[in-house]
Amino acid sequence: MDSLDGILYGLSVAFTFNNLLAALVGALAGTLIGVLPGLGPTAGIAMILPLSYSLDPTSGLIMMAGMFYGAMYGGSTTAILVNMPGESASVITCLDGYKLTKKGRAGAVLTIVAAGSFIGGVISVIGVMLFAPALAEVGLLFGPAEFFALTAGGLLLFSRISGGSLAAGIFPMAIGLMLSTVGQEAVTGQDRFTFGLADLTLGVELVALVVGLYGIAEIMSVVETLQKQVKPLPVKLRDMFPSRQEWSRSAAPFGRGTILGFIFGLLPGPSATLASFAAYRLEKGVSKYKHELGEGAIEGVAGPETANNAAATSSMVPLLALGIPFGPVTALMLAAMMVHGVQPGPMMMTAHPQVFWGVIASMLVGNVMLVILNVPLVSVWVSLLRVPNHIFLPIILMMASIGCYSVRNSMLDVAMLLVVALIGYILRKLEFQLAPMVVGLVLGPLIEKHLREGLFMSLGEISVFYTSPIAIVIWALVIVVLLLEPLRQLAARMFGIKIKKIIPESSE
Amino acid sequence: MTGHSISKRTAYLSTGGLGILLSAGYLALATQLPLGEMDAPGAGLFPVLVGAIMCFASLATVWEGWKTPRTDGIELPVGQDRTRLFKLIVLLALYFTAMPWLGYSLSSWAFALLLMRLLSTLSWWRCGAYAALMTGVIYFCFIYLLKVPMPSFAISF
Repeated sequence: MDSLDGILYGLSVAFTFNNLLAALVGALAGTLIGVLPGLGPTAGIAMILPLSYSLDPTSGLIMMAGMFYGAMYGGSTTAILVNMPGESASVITCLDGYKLTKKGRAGAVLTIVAAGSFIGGVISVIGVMLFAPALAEVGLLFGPAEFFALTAGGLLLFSRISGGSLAAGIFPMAIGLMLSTVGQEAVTGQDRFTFGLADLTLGVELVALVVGLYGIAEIMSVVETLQKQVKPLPVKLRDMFPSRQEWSRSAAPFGRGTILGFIFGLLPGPSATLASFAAYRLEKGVSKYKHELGEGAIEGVAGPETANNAAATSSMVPLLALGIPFGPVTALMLAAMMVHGVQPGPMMMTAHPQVFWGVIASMLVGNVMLVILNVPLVSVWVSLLRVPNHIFLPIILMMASIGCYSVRNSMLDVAMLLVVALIGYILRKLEFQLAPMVVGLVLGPLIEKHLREGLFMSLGEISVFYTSPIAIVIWALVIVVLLLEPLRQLAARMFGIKIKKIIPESSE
Repeated sequence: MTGHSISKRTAYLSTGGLGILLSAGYLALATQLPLGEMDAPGAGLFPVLVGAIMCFASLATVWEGWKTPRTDGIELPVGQDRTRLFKLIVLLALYFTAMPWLGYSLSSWAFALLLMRLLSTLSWWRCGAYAALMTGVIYFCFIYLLKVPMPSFAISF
């Protein structure tokens, strides 16, 4: 099945009633999650993960993908209206978005964001259609050594690119890897680090970790700073139309953001966040109105918001084509696929074409739904921001406990929520990154599997991991990227050459 | 109100120290697992490698702490902010502890009631009514409609 046949088949899957409903629910729930402070896309998706188990794999994944790009849109709403990003990819949007709101352009900016998200999302889907099958074919050449390089090297890169210092990335990554070894080992059935607790035999539950780290820890921060909350001004439908000048000034940032976002989505790291920061830097470098950036320029919103949606979409490529999640949300999607017995990777296109093409095609449908629904519904989303904390925080916490308990009916998982939340809260205070812990927990078993398979097949020869041409290329890329920052510092110290960083100090 | 700060240097040194202790304990347990041979690796091989990575990450944290200027601080909540945060943690602990005994609905109602009292100035009656409404809606959606099997009332006399 070539790409065109594939997408036609995917559209036939996506246009079934159940899958349309899943895309709609996912897009709306994602927007809601993005709008509400205290619940980012990662925690939100983790909470509905158990519910997706009751759906068929295609519908479940369509709903999760819808939530991901819906949250990208929703997160920007709070960034623009109340200077409070709903999720990390919208942090940079605050700079110009909120200034434009103060100038009375909130409605127009929200429309530009919806249009940019739509353009970035749809063009990125076309890129996914073309790129994912090609990458899957390359993936067929991969053996354990290549997959080991991709998973271990990818995790290492992810922990460094996530932002912050060396320790801020690798310390949580190491904790994630340690947690991944808890439970019954896959090959021999040996119990590891279970301390006699039957509930731990199945390992540390991903949902508990993610909801604790991203949901409850964030709620702790919201409760801590309760008095600093700002309520938004109402946005009327008649204020939603951008001027001709705003449209024309946004056109080029839309294009630049789409290309940049698509590329970032293919790489390990918090792609949506990095893409939005990189798009802002790009606008500062090349925009005709760069002197206005930071003072309320539409380019400062159009570029980053297009980029983060494009990246959210293209981050599906490594997951679907190679079976490797390069971010916490795609890690959750991998977990959902595993539960459904769908093994993502090079064989997925032939073994589960309805899931592969259905999910890709649904992203087209979901993006259309988002733009049709969200512009008219903006006043609804704004009114949600006025719901007081004492109403929505208990609801989120009650739902978090349901989501966590329902995965395997374990009170240990629920208790773990609080422990993990405390760890997450402390690590955030220390400016550590949390995403490497989640990705470490998911990639740990894959790294171990490929390591053991490689050793077994090569009769114990370690050189198998660094002698195949593909593995050499992957490791070389990992090393080059890891050395970029030390080289940048060295160039600054020895020759006085100052190269700007694209990566933010923190991506969370 | 976040005014109090602790030394970042101390925080990093302590975290790194804890990490070293954790990795030592983890490695001690990992080495008790069968390591196998190079051509047939056992269940202990990967945990030993992970323990070594944890040890390295902890040392990196200590090193960064060592290099951090003594003047750098980490903001901590103070006053009412700290009290509110502490009360939230206690409420969550009580909620999760009570859930298997009181059942999901009763424990959730009590938790929502107390959390609303903590976060708002609403009266006990209004908080109780809102909490009942929230719990009822969540019960209807998740337990009644979606058949999520949450713990039910378990105390018997």
